[in-house]
Amino acid sequence: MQKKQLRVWEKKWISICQNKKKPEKKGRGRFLPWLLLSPSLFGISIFVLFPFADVVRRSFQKAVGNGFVGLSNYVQVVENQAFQLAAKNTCRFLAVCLPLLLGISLFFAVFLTETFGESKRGGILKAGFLLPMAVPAASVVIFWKLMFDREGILNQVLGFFGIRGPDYMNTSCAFGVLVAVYLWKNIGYDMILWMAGLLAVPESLYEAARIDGAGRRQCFWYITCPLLVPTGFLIGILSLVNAFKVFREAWQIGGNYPHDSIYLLQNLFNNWFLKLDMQKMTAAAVMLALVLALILLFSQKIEQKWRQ
Amino acid sequence: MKMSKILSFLLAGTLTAGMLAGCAGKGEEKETEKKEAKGSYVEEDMEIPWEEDSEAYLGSFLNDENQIEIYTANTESVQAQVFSYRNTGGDQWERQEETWAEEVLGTDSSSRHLIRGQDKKIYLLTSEDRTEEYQQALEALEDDPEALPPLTPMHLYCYTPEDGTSEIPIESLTVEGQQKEGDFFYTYYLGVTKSGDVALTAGLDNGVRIYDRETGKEKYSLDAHEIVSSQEDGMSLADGDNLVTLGANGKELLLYDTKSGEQTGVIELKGQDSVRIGRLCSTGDGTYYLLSNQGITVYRENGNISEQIFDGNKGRMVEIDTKLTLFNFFAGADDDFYGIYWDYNTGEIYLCHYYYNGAVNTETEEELTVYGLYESKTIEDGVRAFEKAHPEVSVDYQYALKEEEEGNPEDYIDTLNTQLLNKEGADVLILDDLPVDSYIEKGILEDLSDYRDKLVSDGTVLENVAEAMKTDGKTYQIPANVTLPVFYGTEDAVNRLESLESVESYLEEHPDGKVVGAAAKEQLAYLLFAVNYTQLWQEDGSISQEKIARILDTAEKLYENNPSEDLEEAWNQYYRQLYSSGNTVTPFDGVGMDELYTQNDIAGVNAVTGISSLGMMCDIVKQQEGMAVQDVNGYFIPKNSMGINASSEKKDLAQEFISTVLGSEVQESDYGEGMPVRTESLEKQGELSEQADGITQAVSYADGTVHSFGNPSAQEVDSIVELVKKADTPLILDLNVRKAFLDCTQQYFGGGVSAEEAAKSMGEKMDLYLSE
Repeated sequence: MQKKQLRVWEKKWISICQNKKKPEKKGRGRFLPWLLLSPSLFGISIFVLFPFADVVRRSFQKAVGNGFVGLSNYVQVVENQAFQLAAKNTCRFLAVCLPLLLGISLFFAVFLTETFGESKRGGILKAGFLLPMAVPAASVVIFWKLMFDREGILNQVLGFFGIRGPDYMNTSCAFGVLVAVYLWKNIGYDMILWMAGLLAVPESLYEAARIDGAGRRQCFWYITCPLLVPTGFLIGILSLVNAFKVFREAWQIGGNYPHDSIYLLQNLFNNWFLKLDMQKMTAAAVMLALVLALILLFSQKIEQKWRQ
Repeated sequence: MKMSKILSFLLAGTLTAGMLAGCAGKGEEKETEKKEAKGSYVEEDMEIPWEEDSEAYLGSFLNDENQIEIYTANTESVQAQVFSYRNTGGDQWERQEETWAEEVLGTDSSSRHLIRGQDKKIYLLTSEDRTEEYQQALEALEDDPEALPPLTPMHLYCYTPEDGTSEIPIESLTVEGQQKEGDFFYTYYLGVTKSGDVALTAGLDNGVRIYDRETGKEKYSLDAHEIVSSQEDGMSLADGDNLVTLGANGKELLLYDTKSGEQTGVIELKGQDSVRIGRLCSTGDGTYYLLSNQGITVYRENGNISEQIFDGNKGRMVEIDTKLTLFNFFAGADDDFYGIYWDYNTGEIYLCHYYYNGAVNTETEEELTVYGLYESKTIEDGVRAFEKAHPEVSVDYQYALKEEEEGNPEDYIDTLNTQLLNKEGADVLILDDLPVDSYIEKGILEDLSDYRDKLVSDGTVLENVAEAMKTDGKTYQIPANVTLPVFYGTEDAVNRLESLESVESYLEEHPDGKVVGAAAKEQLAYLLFAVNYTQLWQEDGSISQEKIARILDTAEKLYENNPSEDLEEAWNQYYRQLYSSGNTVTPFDGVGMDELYTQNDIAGVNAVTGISSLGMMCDIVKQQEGMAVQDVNGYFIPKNSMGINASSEKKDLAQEFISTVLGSEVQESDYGEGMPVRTESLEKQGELSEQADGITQAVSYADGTVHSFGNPSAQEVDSIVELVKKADTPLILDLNVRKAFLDCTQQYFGGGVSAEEAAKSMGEKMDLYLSE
């Protein structure tokens, strides 16, 4: 009985959240949005769409000149061992980081909301979590290097207990360091997004559930979680995109040729650019864009299905 | 609602307008801005009126008739012979023997300074350093390199045709006076004010001292700059009764009143890097002209504005730091100037006239662009020589990193690649540390095979070097210089260092044995890496991890047998970065050489970058019996490799530029960047070395040891030249390979990682690099 009631509230809430299409206006009304959008569309076309179209064109051509080579650049890239390693590492990084980031940031969001609500102390803590985003990447990396260097802080501390730590940056531990840097930097941002989602859940739903005898855990599983799914999709997509920006940290930690475990696609792209291997770079970029597009479409489908 | 719509339209409109305005081209605007500018100062060489072989320059000035007057002395006669040359117009000179100066100099003295004072009298400062006793005392000191030359009396004479010669008794010029200054006395600047007081910079004091003409007593000591050269200091100038001198920071001129000793003003040297070597002159109206390697710049007393009237890149002054000594700089009578330079490599003297030419078009017709990652003196000289030969062309030479500057070359390669992809970029590329193979593969570099054939067939460029620089049978790059790595020592000692195996077997037999001079651990590893570089690569193209591990182990043993904490510290603090991101040092630099003066069972390592880099090595080989110089596996290290951008529209001009760099004018200058690749210039190195016979280098060590040596003999240089001619293997250590190896050494010698692990880490990086 209780479950059934919760399901009804859930559906009601979703229907509120969903944008209901308004009847389309004819003539000027239909033209106006496009007119207002045109400056940004123009910018996007110039700076994103056309360059990307050029990238697609170049991916079927020789490195220099206009010779058409069909799919051979793609074949070359797929067979390239460095690409395979970089793709594997990038997938591994995403597979490890995204769930961890979403889970940990949600935990902190719920914890802060439940514990501090909208108190001042909560505000200070939120700002604290966001601080890593304001710190320049270069100084963040110096800090992490100091921490994880062979003679760094961590190994010094371990030394007190008679443990000799490894050279983190030049062993497979480098992957752990990169994950830690990524989580440390992005948790605050995701947490704020989760908190926004949490605050949008009407208090009345929890009150009604509590009247019906639901406990804190039940409220979380049956009200909070389902209602946070759209927010989760959004945060997931943003985190996925942000994960591709971790190259800056990876490069600053290990240079062009870091340890094998943190050699990501962006390292490879950068090195290809240094060697002017534009044909490989463009083919790989197109493949990466396709994979990302597929992931986005797939997530959208799932989200739509879930809403229905 | 209506309001929000208007706002939306306004915002959209602003965004569009802003974007369009931002993207709008400015070409037309530039076109209209471009004006035809005419008139500028030009440099013109004047003929020197004396035989350079038999006469030496003493001094010069503008006389009462506004003629240039230059004094010389016969270098071959025992009795002083002094001549003056007065320019009577154009190339016409009047020669006159100056008996007054000959009498003063006699057989015992030499001239230190010959000037015309502000009181319009001629002054000659002499030193009694040609007496037998003095020469004997000097000879006695030859065995003791630390000993300072003995003190000898100096005299200051004043001469006018009307009053004849008279001596001015300056207290600090007597031996007693010199002793008060310290154990060493040398004069750097002499000036005489309008009221006849003497300004002198001498001894160990950097200040300019003003002496009373009558009593010879010091009146004031004025703060000035540090003296950085043993040559005459041109950065002080007596102007009327004032003295102008460069301040201690090298960034301002200090003005003093010599009558009161008070500082009366400061002129900031705007637009100048810190000036140390240059010369000042004045026109007597509070305007000062500074000639430095940056050009001629005008400064006004009490003024804040400076103006460069002549660009140093277009004149000989650009070489002041590298091969020229500026003897004098003075103003002429028609807003013109004269500069007298001495090339200390060839002994040639240049008299340059700088004058305003209203017909000169300051807008050049064409611009040639040259780009390299690292600053190069050779290329700078090439730019100067090219602009001089082609006044209608200006050369824009850009480089990413200054000499010995730290930085990541890859940041600049990114930018360059973007330009090259857009079919832009410099016309001439200096390819050191650039991804040459990629550029060749992608068709970025022009095929210079025909040009190379021409250079080789007419004997311009060394055939062995040109042949070795081919890629797949074609030539895309021609080096301007080559560095020759060499080993020297006894045959046994050198053979030990020949390969990794030979070093290992020696250390097995002699566990405590020394193989080379002291060096840092990583440096030793890098040396072994370079020596064995070609053997490190396996058939499948990967690097041998096993050999890398052996190199690390062997380097550690070499260090243990000859440790040096000082060198280890110097490496960590300074040299590592230089080795990984620049082209100023090679793996064959920085390995201890002084030990070979006392030990003949170790091998010396040297990178021959010019005559100046040969002095110590040749001195050791000369002193130690049975020692010889040997090449390292036929290696040479190409420097300043020049290529032409295939997209350039000025390929002929670019080729012309390369020809200028390969010309004798540039190739015969020793910038310490490598031996010449021009056959004729290379063969002339021995002769050039002997011409600069008087140059002595001294190297001092922390333990107080000092080694001083002169230039090598022609025979010694010729033996090195023969090695350059035989070298047939270019040793090009790829930037990434170099970095990976230095990371690997750092990892290993930092501790906690075995040689095998460090080698594995490097091997993985290399595999990744190659698989890309």
